[in-house]
Amino acid sequence: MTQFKIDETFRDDYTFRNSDGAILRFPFPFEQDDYMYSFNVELHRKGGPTGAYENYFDIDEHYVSECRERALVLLQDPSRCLVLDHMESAEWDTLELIMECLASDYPEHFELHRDPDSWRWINRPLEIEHSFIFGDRSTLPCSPFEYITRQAQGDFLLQDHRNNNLYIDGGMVTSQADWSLEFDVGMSFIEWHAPVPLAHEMGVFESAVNYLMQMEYGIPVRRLNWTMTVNPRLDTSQENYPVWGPDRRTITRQNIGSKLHLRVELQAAWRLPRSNAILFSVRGYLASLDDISRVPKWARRLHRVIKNLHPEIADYKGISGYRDLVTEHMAQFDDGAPTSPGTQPDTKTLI
Amino acid sequence: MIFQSELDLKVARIDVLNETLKRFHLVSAGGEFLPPAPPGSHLTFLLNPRDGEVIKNSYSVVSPTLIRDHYEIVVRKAADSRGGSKFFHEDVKEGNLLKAKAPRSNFSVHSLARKSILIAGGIGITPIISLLDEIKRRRCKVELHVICGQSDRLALEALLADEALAGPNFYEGRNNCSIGKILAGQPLGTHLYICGPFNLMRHVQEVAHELGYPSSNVHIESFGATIGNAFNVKVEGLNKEISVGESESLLETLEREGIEAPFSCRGGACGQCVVRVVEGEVDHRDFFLSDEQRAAGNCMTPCVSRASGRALTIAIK
Amino acid sequence: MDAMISRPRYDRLSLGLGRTHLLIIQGSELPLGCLASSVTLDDFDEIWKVVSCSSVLPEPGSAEKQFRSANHLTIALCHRLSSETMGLRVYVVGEESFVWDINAQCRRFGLGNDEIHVFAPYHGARRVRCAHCRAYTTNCQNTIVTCDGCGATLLVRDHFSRFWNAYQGFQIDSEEPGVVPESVAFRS
Ligand code: FES
Repeated sequence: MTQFKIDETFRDDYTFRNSDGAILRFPFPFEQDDYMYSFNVELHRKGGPTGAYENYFDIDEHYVSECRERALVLLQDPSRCLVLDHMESAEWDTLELIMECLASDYPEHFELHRDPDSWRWINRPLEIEHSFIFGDRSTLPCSPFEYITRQAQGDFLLQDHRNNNLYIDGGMVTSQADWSLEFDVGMSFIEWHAPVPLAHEMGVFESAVNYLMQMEYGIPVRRLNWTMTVNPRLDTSQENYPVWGPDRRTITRQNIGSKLHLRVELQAAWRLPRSNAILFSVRGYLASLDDISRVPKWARRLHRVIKNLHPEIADYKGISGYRDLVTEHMAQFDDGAPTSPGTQPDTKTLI
Repeated sequence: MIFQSELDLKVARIDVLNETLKRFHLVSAGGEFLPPAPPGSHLTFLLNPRDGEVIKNSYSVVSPTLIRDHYEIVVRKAADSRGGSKFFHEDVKEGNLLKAKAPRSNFSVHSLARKSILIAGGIGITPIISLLDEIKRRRCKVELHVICGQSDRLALEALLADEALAGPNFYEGRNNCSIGKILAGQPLGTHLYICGPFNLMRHVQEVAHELGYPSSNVHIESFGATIGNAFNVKVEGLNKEISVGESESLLETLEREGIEAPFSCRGGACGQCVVRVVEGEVDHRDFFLSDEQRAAGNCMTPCVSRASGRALTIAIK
Repeated sequence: MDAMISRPRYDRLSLGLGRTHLLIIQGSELPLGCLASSVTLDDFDEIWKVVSCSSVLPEPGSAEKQFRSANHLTIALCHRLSSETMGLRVYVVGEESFVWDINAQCRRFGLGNDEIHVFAPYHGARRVRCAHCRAYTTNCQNTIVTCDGCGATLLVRDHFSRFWNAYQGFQIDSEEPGVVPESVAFRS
């Protein structure tokens, strides 16, 4: 049973820390010693190289604190949760999916009771107990999508599937890597990804749309994405770039190990049954360079990936300013030994 | 649960609607909740009418999409039944167990429709019923037009009884129904959903096109949708010829035959499953192979691609 | 800066299938090069123009109507769309922010991708939405602008939203105050 750290912060004094267990279950993103965009999808089934893959929607020790951080972001900027009117059916689909998965994967923390006309939802870690009528939004304190995504870790996006295309017509986005849901709402999938360099020429997004549109419900898929973040800050939104942007200049040789974090998104895509929309769950994980260096294989590999990274990708991910410092810092953990294929840590204990 | 691909169902109740129509109430054999049935969805049953024989038949789910504790299907006894509907009508009894794949839909409700017009021909009403349920949940304006034979009218009206819909329009026979009249003068943002015999669907499409409906506003459900053609495959190095059915992929067939084949996305995107093609033409349906690779014709993704002819020879790495 | 895929590209207008074809022009004349070679003005059933003159009246029943301003035309258009029936096609020619405004109105009344076509022959000046304070700064001619709302120095990206009818601007010197790249004029 997960022990929750209930008072971590992701801003100001940044008290977020990973336990040893959390480091070992981190979804390290690099399969090989170099990195390029690829359409690296696989079925989202239970089980994978680390503990982060054990359940459909992963709940870990940071759950309570992350939900509190989300609530704080929404207080400051309610438009981080934005769903266009025609997506209500997808909202209920999302609520049903997440409640059902959480209740069956973590019965010690969540319960869902479905009587013919009323549902009862119990969320112990957040101390919530609520009865409502499925399909009747007046029986919930907020919209069904907002209600359930306030109680889940990671960001969520709703893609409407119509006219043989996908449109980003809703989302709960409080921990994104430098983009703005509010600006991008309503865009087609390709327009939404317009700012990403290189990948368009490679046809990555055309393939992605076509692939996603033929997805069937009940068969979710996943992929990983990554970037780096200064401080364990979840809200690195474009909206607040003037607030966190200056942090990028604070990395020094002395503080890099504890201050700079590898940030991984485990992105899963789910076809929703009644709306036929597609839900993206973007579950973010943070690990400091110090955390990473406690797993020898990951430390070696991270050094090699950053050293050889394509400059345009480094720019887009915002790491050009301190890239050399990362390479220099990680070099001490790279003895040149070969690394095994795959992302699993190859160890049960940390050094 | 939502993530089941094969279901064990128990027949809880059978209603006789008329001489040729029966409604079956199906519950999960284990008593748990069933996956949601999307609007317009069908269940594909794997039936065993006689030992050693397996036939696949698809029937629409007519129960509302919010219901998770049972499905209802309506089966018409076809005069020339190859076994499926005959089996349901003559052999299936209350308490029997049936195997089916999780419900799938070829229809979906357009989220921006401001009005929906549903047109059903005969038993084509069945996928329309759950579609209507979803459209009403969205509080979208809707009209329903049903064209049927005189003998079915009462039964079909009874099917719609639960739907509390202001005046479904019934027409006895095609000649009594003018599609042009239904479609003309409809407000902007009108979407059409049609299910019925091929000729009816084609006719509605043509009339809609002439009146200036964009094709993205016209949604048709072809009954008994299959994935593609059936074909035979020889696997090099194995002394075996396997046959891929109309409603399965080559990858599924390999798995069914116990032949080990790699895969990851199962949707033609990742390239994990690529096999070598030794002989035969391929109908490429993936998003992975380059144009050059397709032109060279010596590899394919068995998770989605098929033979364009009747036979293929492949080699698995 | 390479053009981003979200930045609209405009194809010359050609007539699709439809019952009634309505052409809307911001201006009294159609600029050259807006129509595909197979199309002439006679192919449209109705032409509505914004002529910027306070005394014109849209003549009822006539195939060509004149309007005093973009707003004047938009009011009439919304009224018309509320009772229109399937088969209408709308074509719009004008400045980028005009054509996307009309596009948004049409979509509100249910027109879809195939029922409305826009063409912006000159789209040099941009309407910019600040990612931080969400204010609009209009008529931006250069890649660097000062936000009308919060005063930040914004870099105007090529990233365009049809929903907001605006390009995106973000504070370019967030990381290092005062470090701003050279401002470049937009090409039309
Ligand atoms: S399994 Fe991914 S392409 Fe076939």
